[in-house]
Amino acid sequence: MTRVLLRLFLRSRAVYLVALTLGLEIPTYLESRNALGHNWASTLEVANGSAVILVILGAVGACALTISWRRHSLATAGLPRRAMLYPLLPGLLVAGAVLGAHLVWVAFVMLAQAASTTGPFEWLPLAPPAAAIVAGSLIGNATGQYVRSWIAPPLLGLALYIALINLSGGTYGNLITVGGIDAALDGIHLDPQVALAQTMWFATVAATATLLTVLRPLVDTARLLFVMAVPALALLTAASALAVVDAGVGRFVLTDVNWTCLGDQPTFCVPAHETATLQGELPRLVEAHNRWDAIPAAQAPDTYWGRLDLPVPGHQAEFTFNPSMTDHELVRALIEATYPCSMEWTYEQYMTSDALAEALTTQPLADTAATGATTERADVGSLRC
Amino acid sequence: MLTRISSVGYRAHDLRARRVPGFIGGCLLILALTLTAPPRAPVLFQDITADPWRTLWALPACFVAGCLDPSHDYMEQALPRPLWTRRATTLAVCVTVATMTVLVSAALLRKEATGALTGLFLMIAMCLLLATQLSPAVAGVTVFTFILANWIFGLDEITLQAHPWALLMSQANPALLMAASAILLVGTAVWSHRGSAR
Repeated sequence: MTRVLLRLFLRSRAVYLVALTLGLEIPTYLESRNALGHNWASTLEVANGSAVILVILGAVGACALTISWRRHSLATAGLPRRAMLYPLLPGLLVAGAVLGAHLVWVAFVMLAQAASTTGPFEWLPLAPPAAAIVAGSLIGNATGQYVRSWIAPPLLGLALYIALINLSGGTYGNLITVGGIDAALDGIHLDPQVALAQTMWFATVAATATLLTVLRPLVDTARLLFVMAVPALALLTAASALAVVDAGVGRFVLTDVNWTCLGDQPTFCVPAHETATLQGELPRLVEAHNRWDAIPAAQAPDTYWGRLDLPVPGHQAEFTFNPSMTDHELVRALIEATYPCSMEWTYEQYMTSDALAEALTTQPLADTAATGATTERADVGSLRC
Repeated sequence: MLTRISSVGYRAHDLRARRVPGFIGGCLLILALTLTAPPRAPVLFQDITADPWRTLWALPACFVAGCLDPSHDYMEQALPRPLWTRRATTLAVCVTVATMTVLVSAALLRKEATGALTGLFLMIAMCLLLATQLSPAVAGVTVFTFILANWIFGLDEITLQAHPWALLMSQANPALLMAASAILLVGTAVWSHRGSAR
């Protein structure tokens, strides 16, 4: 049986998709590699980074293979009837090739990063991309069953890409987003509720595509039954999509983070695994705070919290730092931390904060305090929320 | 002659030239897309936008795959006109139609056609090579993947310059257009004369 499947796999040319899959995995990995080695949530996101494009690849590949197979249908029409699942073979072979190559790639990334990655490991983030790749391949298979033209595969791929661009980032983003983050996901992990809803959604899409493929002969023999089945499948898929939308926008939730706080007036708090880095940078951070606090109108906070990728309730001033930042950048980071609306600043406001940080870094601290920093006070006014 | 072919069980729509209307339809669809697409479109995974015009005009290369199917050979060798002229004519018509639609789109949108034609010819040449050596399905999927990879990963996010491998995103170059045309011409001649490898 294994030999038969292997021969089928090789002769169907689905095996070429393994090379294309790896060709699409590598660039995403290279672009997101700065997020590797922090925790398993980030590492798995990077490993799954290309999954969205692999869905398109699977759809295009399965559609092309199905059309290729259907061209032999005239020659095989007189042979005994095959199993009902026979039309699904191109989709399943492509899904096997793309998903298999993707899982091997994920395993490679995990093994390569195992030594430096911390935190709890979860299998759940692997489920939505796997289901999505299978669903994409079966969509391509179904399309190939209904549209025989060779122009169908690229047009299907183009349609999926346009849908991807229009849906990503919005309310319906979770219907298509299955991985790809280039930031360290400190203190957060994939929301299990969202992951399960996504997996169910992709499984429903796969089941719908499967039924549409299997029911293809009904178009000629029992059209009324087919016409009744299509709305039922559409309703089932829509209900599954609603479950994903109801699970909320965004895919991540906060985990329990152990915070370490250093310093007294001001106090800097970071996740426990960054304690050593904070200890090394504490003198520079205190100096940056003092420079910023020298402007009376600044109302610099007493406690700064390390910024996570999700807002933490109760953390007013969230900052980002790393040892490679210059003194000027540290001051700017604390200015931004002071104003919760800094993420929505306009370009002009951002440039104002940058100029202010530059001025505070270069002029002696005593001068800022003595003059009352009239210029800086005016600048601070334009940064308020 | 068509009657004789029909009598042995083949359908007229299996003939190679019958794939050309599909190709023309695909080109017209891309033409409509280029006229309605925004001048700057978001690029997946990157916080940048890029002009999709040139990349869209590489897609007709995927549509050529149908005309390159070697199974047409068995049907067409029973016809009176030599097989090599059928192959050459079909591909020449496809390339001419695609070139004309690119030029129309370029004239309507006042864009430089050199880059789009270079990408189109290179992709058709790649499709021709893969379809004749492997299979039309492999050719179509590989060319589509190459186009997708060019669009998504072809531009450097910081400098916004094209990577050296991203031929479809690089600056228009008349010398490259000449080279692409020559490759396509030689490829067409070789394929018309020798047919597919399998």
